[in-house]
Amino acid sequence: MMRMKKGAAAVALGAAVAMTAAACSSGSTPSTTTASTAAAVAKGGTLYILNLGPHNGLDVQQSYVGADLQTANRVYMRYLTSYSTGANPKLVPDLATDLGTMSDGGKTWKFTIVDNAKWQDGAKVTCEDVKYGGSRTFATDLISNGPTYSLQFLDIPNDADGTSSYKGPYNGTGQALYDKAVTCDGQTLTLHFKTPWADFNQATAALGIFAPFPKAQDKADKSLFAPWSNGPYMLEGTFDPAKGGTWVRNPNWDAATDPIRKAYPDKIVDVEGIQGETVYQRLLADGGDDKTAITFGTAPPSVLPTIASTPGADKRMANVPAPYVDYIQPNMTSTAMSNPKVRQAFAMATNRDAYITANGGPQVMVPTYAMCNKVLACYKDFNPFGAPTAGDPDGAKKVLTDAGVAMPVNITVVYRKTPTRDKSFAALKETWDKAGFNVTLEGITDKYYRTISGAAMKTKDAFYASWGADWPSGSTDIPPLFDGRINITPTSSNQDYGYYNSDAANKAMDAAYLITDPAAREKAWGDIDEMISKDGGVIPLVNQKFTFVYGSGVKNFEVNTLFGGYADLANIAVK
Amino acid sequence: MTVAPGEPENRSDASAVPVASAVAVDPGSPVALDGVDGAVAIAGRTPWQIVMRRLRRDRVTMVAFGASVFFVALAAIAPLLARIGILNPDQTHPELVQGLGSMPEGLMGGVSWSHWLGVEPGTGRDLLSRIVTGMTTSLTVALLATLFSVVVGTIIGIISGFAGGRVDWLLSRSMDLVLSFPSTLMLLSLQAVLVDRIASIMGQPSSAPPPKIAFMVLVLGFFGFPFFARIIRGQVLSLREREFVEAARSLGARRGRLYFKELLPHLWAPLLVYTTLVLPANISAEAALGFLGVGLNPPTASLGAILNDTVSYALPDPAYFFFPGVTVFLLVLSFNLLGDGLRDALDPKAGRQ
Repeated sequence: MMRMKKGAAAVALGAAVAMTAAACSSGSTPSTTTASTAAAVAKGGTLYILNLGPHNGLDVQQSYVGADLQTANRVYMRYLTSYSTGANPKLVPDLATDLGTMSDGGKTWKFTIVDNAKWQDGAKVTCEDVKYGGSRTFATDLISNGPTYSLQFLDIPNDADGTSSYKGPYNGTGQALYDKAVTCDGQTLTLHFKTPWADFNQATAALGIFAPFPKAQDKADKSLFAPWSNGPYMLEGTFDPAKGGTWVRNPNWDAATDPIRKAYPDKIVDVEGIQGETVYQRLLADGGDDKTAITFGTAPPSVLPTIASTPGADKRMANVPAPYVDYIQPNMTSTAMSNPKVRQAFAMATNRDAYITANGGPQVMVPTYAMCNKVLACYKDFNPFGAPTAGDPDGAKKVLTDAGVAMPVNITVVYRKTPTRDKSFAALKETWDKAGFNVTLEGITDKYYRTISGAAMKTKDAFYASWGADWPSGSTDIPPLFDGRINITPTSSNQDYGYYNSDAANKAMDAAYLITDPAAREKAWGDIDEMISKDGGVIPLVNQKFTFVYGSGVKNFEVNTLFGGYADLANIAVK
Repeated sequence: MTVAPGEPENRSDASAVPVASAVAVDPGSPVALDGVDGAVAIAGRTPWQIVMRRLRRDRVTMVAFGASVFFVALAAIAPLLARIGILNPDQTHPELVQGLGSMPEGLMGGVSWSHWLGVEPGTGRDLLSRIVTGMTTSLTVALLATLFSVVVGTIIGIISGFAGGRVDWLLSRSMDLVLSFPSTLMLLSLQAVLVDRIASIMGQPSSAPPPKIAFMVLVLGFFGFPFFARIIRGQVLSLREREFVEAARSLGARRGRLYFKELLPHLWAPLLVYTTLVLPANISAEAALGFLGVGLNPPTASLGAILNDTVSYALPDPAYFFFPGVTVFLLVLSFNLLGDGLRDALDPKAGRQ
């Protein structure tokens, strides 16, 4: 699960927010991507990035924040594979010579590392560095908050308590097991998985799980803000998570050896600690250094009218699909929602239009009925109960009446509290109540996802959440959220907040993993998506959209739909 | 002037004996001279009459009094108005907020005949209805919290002042301890734990709405009580040496009688004054909590929650920012002025002439 940059979440004010993820899109690429003119660009200048902060970490094995991972990949950390730039980004090789070769039905992957990539001290990037970087994830005591797919997939046995028998490179326990699962022969890296992982090369582009790391430079958890660069820029001095830091050119990076990054600016200054509204006031004012500034936080709804009324701002604005899907998950274990008819009525009475209006209108989000984002190949156009986007409270009431349910049905809906969401859930409540529910809204401010997955919340009836796929595949959408077997424990629902655990869906997920043809596999995820919705297991609300404004001196501004919809730093220029 | 419940008693008049009960004759009124022929009849006035007379002459206080009564009355009938449909705090009007960023259409945040103060961006709910029903919530919390502080503070203050010695030391130090806590911070950090605890004490099923009103009343009231207790203690310290207390004691009155029958009647004046001063402080505190997101569950309106939302619209929709802010300002100002005026009337020595 990839999380959204806090800057966007700053959203105290607004927009959406939340947890989750990165990528989206494969195949269908949205046409809204704004690429500024192909005007002549030159090297030089300083690019400023204005963010709310504090920064979560620069160590890609300890980061799950979409915008941060994208920045890392473009600025200081090349991965095995990456996404190309432009309006139609594709999966491309980066540190590897090709996209890797899969064998044994997806259980074995082979990559050859390029010979001419160098670290910031001039040392060569070796296969051993990649292998070492991948091993860090296993040191769960020191390396945390990063993706944990390696623990789940790599062919390393588990201890009796369910944790991996390999405890990471610092402790060394089980090192032989890792050395067997991941091998280096010269510059050739071979990985062995327990179960097929057909889109592994997508994971290596979207996440830092197999980003290289030289063992000599590793300070374990202390590496969080001490990155070691193999990309076009390296850190100057130190990075203060609350204030930011400065990236300068890496003398050992050679443009000729890098197919993706153009690295036009001489310097990139990351400024943390600026409130969302302030960021946009500065970008719209477009003065001084802010002329060459961008941000990763989407514009809060209250800023949108100001953008519209600022002359020329429309020429330096992008309104693009974001990877995040807001949804409500009914709790299958609650008294009310364990009745499928009640879930159906609840879903039918859901007013997506009111939710969107309360969040700032169609520029901020578009309605959806599917958990797969509309830009993903797994997206399937369906409407489980035929209710319009404005909801059908009368139809819902009829469902409740026909089912003989005593009305009003008292339910508690839990959501992540912000002033904007207070309003959007009040708007949802109106049609729910009209349909025969009596909704109590409970807003939670702190540690939202940790709280709702805890046992104390097991009696609540429905939960709000927001999710974006880690990489463009339904496999990072459906199983992480709806496979009860991997999520539900006695003390926590983990990411399956509604305790959804259906045998039929689980069986279908197992089958989908085994499909090797990517198109057929994505279609299968779409079918499961529909199956869960028809079961009333989830009520997807909207696909979020990002609105960015950038300074008038920024050229080649483009967002990368595969990289979470954020500004792509590979081509960006300020001269 | 706002009095924070945590403010130490550095006010010169705070520990003074309330003069209304000591001074029999209003110095400002014509003195009726005894034994002068043809003089007007001696006008004996009770302390209460004197206070009322002074109050009536203080125009600012009378206006503040009128405003306070108006606000309280409005807040009291708001639930009734909402029930008969004159106020519609929860009715959304998405058709009124269709623009970019869902801003209200029309001037001044969508002011119209049906929406006198405009509508809320995003939902189109009527702002006037939200403010008035929000006032009910905020005033209820503030009043109950103040009442809690007064009751607990008075009892502890009397005991502390009268008992003296070790009991006094212990109670005074615990008051210092409470006063030294940063109350807002405590509220924020305690809410998760305490709300659940209160719910289980009240025997609520966990699916019921969390008892946030009870929580806010208890915590605001708790952090406000030392303020009263210290003032009462100061009064009692001087009162307990007075003859009538000595007399009652010599006659063998019990403690309960001494506390509540002998001492309490002499304490109503400072209690009244400081209640009117702590009340607006609690209104502000409730608003601040709502602002920080601790407040009640939506769609229940409270002034703090409304203010919290308006801040981000200060530029694009100034009217929406303006009306709730002004309401809180007027509400707090009128109670503060009323408190000041009351104090002046009850204690001419500390006047502001």
